[in-house]
Formats: sequence, structure tokens, C-alpha cells
Amino acid sequence: MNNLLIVKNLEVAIKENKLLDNISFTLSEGSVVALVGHNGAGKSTLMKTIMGIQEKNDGEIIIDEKYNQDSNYLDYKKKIAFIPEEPLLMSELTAMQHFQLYGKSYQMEEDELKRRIERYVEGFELQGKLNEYPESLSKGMRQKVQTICAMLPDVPLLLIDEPFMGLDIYAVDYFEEILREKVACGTSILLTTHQIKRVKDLADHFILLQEGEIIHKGKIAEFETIKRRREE
Amino acid sequence: MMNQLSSWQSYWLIRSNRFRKKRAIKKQLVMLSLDKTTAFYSLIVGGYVFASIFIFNDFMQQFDDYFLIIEQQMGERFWLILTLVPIRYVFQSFRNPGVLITSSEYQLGVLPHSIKKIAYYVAIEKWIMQLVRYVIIGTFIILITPIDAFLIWIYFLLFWTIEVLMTIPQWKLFQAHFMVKLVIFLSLLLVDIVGTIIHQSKLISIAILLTVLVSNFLLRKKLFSQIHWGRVTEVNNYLVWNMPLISRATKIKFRRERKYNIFQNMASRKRPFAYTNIAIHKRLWLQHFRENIEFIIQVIGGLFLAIVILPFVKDLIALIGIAISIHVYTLFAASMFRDRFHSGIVQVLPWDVKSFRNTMKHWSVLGFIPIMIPIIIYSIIQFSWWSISFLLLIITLFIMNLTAKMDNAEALLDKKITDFSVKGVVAFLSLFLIVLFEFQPYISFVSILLLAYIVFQNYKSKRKKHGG
Repeated sequence: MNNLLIVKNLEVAIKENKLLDNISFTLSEGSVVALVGHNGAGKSTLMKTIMGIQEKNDGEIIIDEKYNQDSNYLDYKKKIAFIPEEPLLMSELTAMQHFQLYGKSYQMEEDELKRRIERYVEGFELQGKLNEYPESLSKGMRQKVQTICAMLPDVPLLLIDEPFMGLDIYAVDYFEEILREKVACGTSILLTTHQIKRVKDLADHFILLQEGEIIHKGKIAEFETIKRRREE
Repeated sequence: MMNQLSSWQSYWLIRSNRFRKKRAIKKQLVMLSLDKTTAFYSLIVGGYVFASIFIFNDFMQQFDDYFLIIEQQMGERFWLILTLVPIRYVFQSFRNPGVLITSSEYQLGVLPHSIKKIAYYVAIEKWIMQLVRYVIIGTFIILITPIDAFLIWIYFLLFWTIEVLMTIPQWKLFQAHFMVKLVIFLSLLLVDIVGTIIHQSKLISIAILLTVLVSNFLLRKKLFSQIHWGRVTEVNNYLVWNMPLISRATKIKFRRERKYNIFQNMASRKRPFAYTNIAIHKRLWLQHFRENIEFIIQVIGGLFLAIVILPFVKDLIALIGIAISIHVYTLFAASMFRDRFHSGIVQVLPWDVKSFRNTMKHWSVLGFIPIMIPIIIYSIIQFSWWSISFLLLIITLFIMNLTAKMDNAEALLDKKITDFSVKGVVAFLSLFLIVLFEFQPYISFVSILLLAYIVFQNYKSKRKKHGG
């Protein structure tokens, strides 16, 4: 299988404080990798760096072998959809307007966009909420809106920071179903999680981060547990 | 059993912790920007400069004549200034409640403390702090200028009294409907203008002062009824924690939550967009401009004022000012453009930069109009018929600089180049033509060549686009 994402010798630092150090890994087409680690291990920083929100000090990030974050950033961005841990919704846009913004940004056809919105809105039980502003929605509903946004386009790489945070059990099941569909179509997923049990059936591999460094990686079946901080 | 903290103690705990946190952040900024050796030498150089200007030399003496004019104006215009000061607070009430109740102070109201009591503490603290500030500034002015000390104290006493008297009106006006504020603001301005024209500023100022006193008396019982606490805390959180220097150094902006805006309840704003870039980007730009409205008004207002004032200094200075204004404004527009992509949800989306640029174009031109108006008036008065070619030069240079800086911004967004570009340097250097116009008006005909250059550049980029 081809490598969809290549992360090489990545380093992120604020002054002398290294947030990520010498991070290298690959993600092959249609695979799901779970980033695990304690709070503050660098999982979200890694996600943001791959997204390009966080500046890196060194290293390379390449998608599909030709889209380098440093030299082809605008095209590189088109290949990724991101679900942040906290919804990034705008107070000025309704749920539907957010979907349209995503559709247009990923250059989706209007008919296809409508079809997908209809399907996901029904699946996540958000009917009747399309013309609501984020402030009128509960936290879980906002998370659902953010999730649908990222599910709308067909992109080769999905980055998900804590996929099931704030979702009710029905929404979690439905979300898993969509993710499996996406993977079956060749989408690769990099996700961070604390609920390793929940993603054991979904992920193929894991990467264990500790204080900004990869300390272990392998097949998800080989993953045992994260040691408590005080045991280290 | 533990003693419960009194409301004052609880409030003071918040205030002192806020102070400590801010001090720690500032300290970190200093540590980031300066090491101990640099800080030590900077302090010595700063001290030397201060001493050489204010202590060892009579540097300020050469401005004595100006200070005497200021003193004379202060005496003559006392009543007019008295009518103008309250307007400042009415203007502020559009965006600022004036009493700094953040979500932390508001939380105390959830605990067994009265929010009314906390609000009084905040207001009293504000008055005391302002008094201390005025005493320090007043003393400094008295020490370094020959202006009559009595006059300075009278003025600062006036400012402070109005600060106290306008606290309640500003607080209540902040809660009022936009139109109410607008009507009061415009009425006060109108009354002021009429008072100045008919030379009755004294009468007007007494009337305004009485109105303020009466409104304080009438509003005192309704101070806490119909208060939109969400809006109050939203604005105040921003005012307290938005630290521009820190944001610039850390590249992390403190953004206002903006949960409330006056358009949100309009049904038309809730309707889905027409599925076009223009419709979607228009809303994104409006949201971005609204978020940065203070900054926009400061920049455009500052440039407008500079162009209005500079011709009174010297013609050459006015022309230099116009050239700098074009540079600053185009730089500002390009920076606003880039900033759009680094805030909110847009930062995680793919960017159709070209389309965003197209939809921002007319806003950039619109923002330049307030700067262009004094330029037009100045050029007509100063250059008569030559003003036509002068204005053509200005417009050409504006387009050229805007294009160059937006091209640069576009490339930076694609991480293609650094902050330097040849086109940018050419555009910047061409601004010197405005200064040269003072010596040789024929220089303005160069604008025809520059226009041809712009057209050629556009043609080239279009061909490249189609070719690519």
C-alpha cells in the first residue's frame, strides 16, 4: 500500500521548550492510526502541526507523495479534513451555513452537498436545527455539526482530535459507521483518543506519544496500556 | 469552621490574582524579548536619553511658545471642552459598558455575594485609579511645561468629575438599543455645534452638566434592571485580556467571543446562502471586519486625521504623509486579508485564496475612500488643474501598492515566499513620485506608464493562469 502521509523528523518548539521532537511516521492509504498518550503528550499539537495551524521548526510533512506542506500548502490543505477537540464553529453562521462553507471550500457540487447533508443530519438527529446558530445548540449538537462538516467532503486524510468527545452513544455508533465507510473508500484516518477500547476495532495501528516524543508504535492489537504518570 | 470571605475580600482576591497573572505574562514577554544584559543596557540608554532631554538640557524650553498657545486655548475654550467630554462616554457606550465586570466578577454573583455590591466596588476602584492616574499625569505636565498649574488641576478635576458622573449614564446606555445611543450621540454633537456657532458654549455646557446630574438621579434606582450580563462580560473579558503586545509576540490572539450581535436575530441572516463564493465570503468578510472594527477605525481614522492636519504644517510634509498613508493603508488591507485565514473555522479549511481576494477587493477600495476625501480636497486647493493628474497618480499608486501587497499576501499564504518581493519594493519606491510632485508636477504623467505596467502585469498573470 502507498504511503498517504509522511511525517519526517518533525520538531515543534516554543523557544527552548520542545513540544514535539523527532517525530517520524507514515500512514498508508485506507489505514487508521490512533495517537495515544497522556494529557500534554503532544497529540493535539501534532494534529495542529499536520493541519498547518501550528508552525513547525523542522521536518517535513507530505501527503500523497507530492503535496508538501512547505512548498504546496494550498493544494496540501485540500487533501485534509479536520475535526478539532472543541468545535470551531462561528457565531455568525447557522449549522446549514457552516455546511455550505465546507462544501464550497472543498469545491463540492451543490446537489451532492445537499444529499450528504440530508443523510448526515438525519443520522446525527439534527433535523430542525439547520437554521440555528451555534449558541442555540447544546455542546453535543455543536460537536455533531462540526463532525458533519468534516464528513461532507471526500478527502484522502481525516484528522480527528478526540472523535467521540461530547457525542451521545447513538451518535458515536453512527459516526463509527461513517468512518468505516470512509476507510473502505480509501480514506486514511489519524485520530487522537483517550478511549482506546472504543477505537480498538476501528484502528489498525497506534502511536504512543510521551512528552513530545514517540516512545512506541505498532499494531493496535499489541497495545496494552499507558502507564500512569507516577509509575514512570 | 472556616470564615466566609466578605464580598470585598472575594473581589480583591480576583483583582490581585488578575494583576499577578498579567504581571507574569508581561514578565514572560520581557524574558522572551530581552535577556538580562540587553535589558540592563537598554535601561542605561533609556535613562541617559531621558536625562539628556529633560534634565541636563532645556530641551522643552524651545516649545515654550507652543505651550503658551495651548495655555491660552485651554483658558478660552474651557466651556467648549466641557461640552465635548461627556460625548466621549456616549460614544464609548456603543462598545463598552464602562464598569469592568468580567465573567470572574460575575461569577461572584453566583456565589453568596451580591453582584450589585461587586459592581459598586468595580466602579469605586475605577474612580480611584483614574484619580491617581490624573494626579500623576498632571504632576508630570506641571513639571515639564510652563502651563499654569492651577489651570491643569482645574482641567483634570473636570475630567475626573465627568468620569464619575458619566459612569451610570454609560452603563445604562450600553444596555440600550443602538438607535437610542445614536440619537443621543448625534443630538449632543448637534447641540455642541450650535452652541459653538452662536457662541453659547457656556450655556450649553451647564445644560449638559445638569442633564447628566438629573440622569444620574433618575437612573440610580434602575441600575441593575434589564442588564444584559452576557454582553457585559463578553466585552469586559476582551478588554481585560486582550494584550496587543503579548499577542504580537506570541502570535496568539485573544479573540472576543462575540456571542451577541445585533444582526443575529434577523431571519434573512439565518437563511442558507446562495451557493456561491461571493455570498459565503461576503459574510465571512463582514464577520472579520466586525471582529476588528476598533483596529479598522483606528487605522483609517488615524490616516484621515493625519492627511487633514499635515497640510497645515508644510506642503512637503503633507505629500510625504499622503505617500506614507497609501503605504500604511495597503499594508493594513493586506494584513487584514491574511488574518482572515488564521482565525476561526477558516484556518482549518482549504483556501480558495483567489476567490477570497476577489470578494475583498471592493472592501479595500471602500476603506480607502475616507482617506481619499481629504487628499482630493487638498489637491484641489493646492494644485488647481494639476490636481487631476495628481489624483490620477495617487489612484495609480494605490492600485499598484495594493496589488503588490496582496500578491505578496497570497504568496505568503501558500508559504511560497518570505515577506520580501521585488514587485513590493518597486511599488514602495514609486510612492516617492508623490513627494517629487511638489518640485515637478510633470512627474505625475509617469502614472500613465505605471498604469500600463499594472495592465501588463494583470495580463501576464491572467495568461499564466490560463496557461497553468
